[in-house]
Amino acid sequence: MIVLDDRLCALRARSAEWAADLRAIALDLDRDPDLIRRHLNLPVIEHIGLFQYPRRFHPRPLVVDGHRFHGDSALEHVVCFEELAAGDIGALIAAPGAPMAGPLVALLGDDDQQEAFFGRLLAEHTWTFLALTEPGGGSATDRLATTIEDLTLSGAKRYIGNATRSGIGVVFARSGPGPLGIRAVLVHGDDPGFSATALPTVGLRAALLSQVDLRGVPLDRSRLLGEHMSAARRGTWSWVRVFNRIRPAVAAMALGIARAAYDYVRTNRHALSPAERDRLAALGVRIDGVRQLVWRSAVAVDADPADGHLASAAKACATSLAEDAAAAALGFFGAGARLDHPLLDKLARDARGTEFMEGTGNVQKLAVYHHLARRRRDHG
Amino acid sequence: MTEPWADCRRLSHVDGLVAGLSALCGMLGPKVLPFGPGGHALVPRSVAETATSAWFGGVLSERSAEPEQPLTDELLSAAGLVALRRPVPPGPRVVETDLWWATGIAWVRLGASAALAEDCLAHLETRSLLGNLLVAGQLADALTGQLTVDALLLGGSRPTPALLHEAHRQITETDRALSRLRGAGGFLADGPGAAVHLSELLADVYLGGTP
Repeated sequence: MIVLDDRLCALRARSAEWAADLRAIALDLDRDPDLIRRHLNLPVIEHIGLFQYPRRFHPRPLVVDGHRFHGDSALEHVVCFEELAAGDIGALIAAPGAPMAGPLVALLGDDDQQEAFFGRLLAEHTWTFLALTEPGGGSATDRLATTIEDLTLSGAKRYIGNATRSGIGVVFARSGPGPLGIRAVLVHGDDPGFSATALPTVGLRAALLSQVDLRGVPLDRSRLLGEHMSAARRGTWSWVRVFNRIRPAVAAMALGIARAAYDYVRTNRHALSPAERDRLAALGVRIDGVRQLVWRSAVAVDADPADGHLASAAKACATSLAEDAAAAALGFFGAGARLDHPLLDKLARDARGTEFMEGTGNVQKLAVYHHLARRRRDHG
Repeated sequence: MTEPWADCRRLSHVDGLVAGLSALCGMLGPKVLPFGPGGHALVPRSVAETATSAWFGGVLSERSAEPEQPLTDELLSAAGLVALRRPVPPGPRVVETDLWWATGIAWVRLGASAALAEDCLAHLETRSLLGNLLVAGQLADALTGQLTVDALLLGGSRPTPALLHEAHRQITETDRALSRLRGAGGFLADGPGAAVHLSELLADVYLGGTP
């Protein structure tokens, strides 16, 4: 069993304090995602952005009770993100910064690219996006249809968070056949040929999931990430590592939704019957179990970024938990609970959306299976 | 299944949840607005606009007698539905009548679920995923869920709260599984995601959560 040390406990406590600020704007952002612009001065919003920057771009680390945090370990991320998502996952995702594109630029970008990318983020409140998923082929890289030909980017991406308000982002495209032909490139929101349109979604509305159209976006070589690396290193090798590090944080966000639903019942339902107490206790135990798995997955990717099978298991598990916990919580409030308790309704809607963040359940199950098959092959 | 319920299910399947729900509301009689046990109603806009009687578990009262609070939501508006809340009148409800209504809601939801399954199959076909064993297994689970509800509702025994909770729970689980297989498109408010959400809301209003 993993027990947090004083340092991480301090981070957790501070994140829980910040979460209250996110909760206060949760329902407003759900109605109008642009309202995030009015809350950019909240300390939590500032730190969400900074938490994913490489250490050299941190103007100053986060200091809590004398402990310093640069946000460069997956375990720090999951401890912090569970709390923040328990406040509100929508506000967490709607914050400016580079939660997904940042780690990729940090890994694949040369010095100039990193300077341009993170320098811009430090200079102004800028949202970023990471565009992999496509309308026809989802996130399957073997079906990637967006192309780079003669330094021109063409194609379409779908379900891309924050794309309509982003100043800069990373787009995956194919410059040649096979896995080595997949490239990650920097694209600016004001590039000619780039357009983004928000899609109406059932939940996670603050994230502004968008359709991105790339109609002959001109690039120069400075936009190609990983030019200074070998073809093998700048392709699948690198971004599998990045996604392995991001996935525990996504799992932690789903866990946060489950926690929020559980806490809502504890706060708003008194005088539980013995059967209700048992049901709530069972939910609490399940949440604790999934939290351990999420923490273990973070420890595993911190030790070896190539080892993502626990992250996949944690993400699949936490997503199911989020949906189940929100449904179970609604069950404590009788008929019409979704209309009388808008926050619980929002949790139930948001929980459905975690399925599509960073790979669906089936993608995660296949990753776990491949790990098992590989281990069996390697060890006879 | 009685013929009117068959119509509700068919309409919901062919023309959408709102059409099935309209037909079900019509079974209560003209100008009647059905309220669930918590004092909430979720009905097509036309029903909310024209109803003169409030129906509480079979007990009718003058609609204008109590204040109503409209509950707005853009998903509801886009679908042509209206949610309302008003105080629950004192006195017992006719439990059998509530169960009868919840049974009708289950048929409406099952019809919409069948449409979702067809949409899902069409989507998986375009993605060439129907041969994938993981996908096939989940699809089979979902369709088995629909068959289970069908069997529960047609079982011949008098519907009980437990039976109806199980039927509605199974529909919710099935719809969610299908919407997941539909990919992120199953999360769109102008697509199948909205139908799943509205179907869940109907169960919430007229039955409530797991007892």
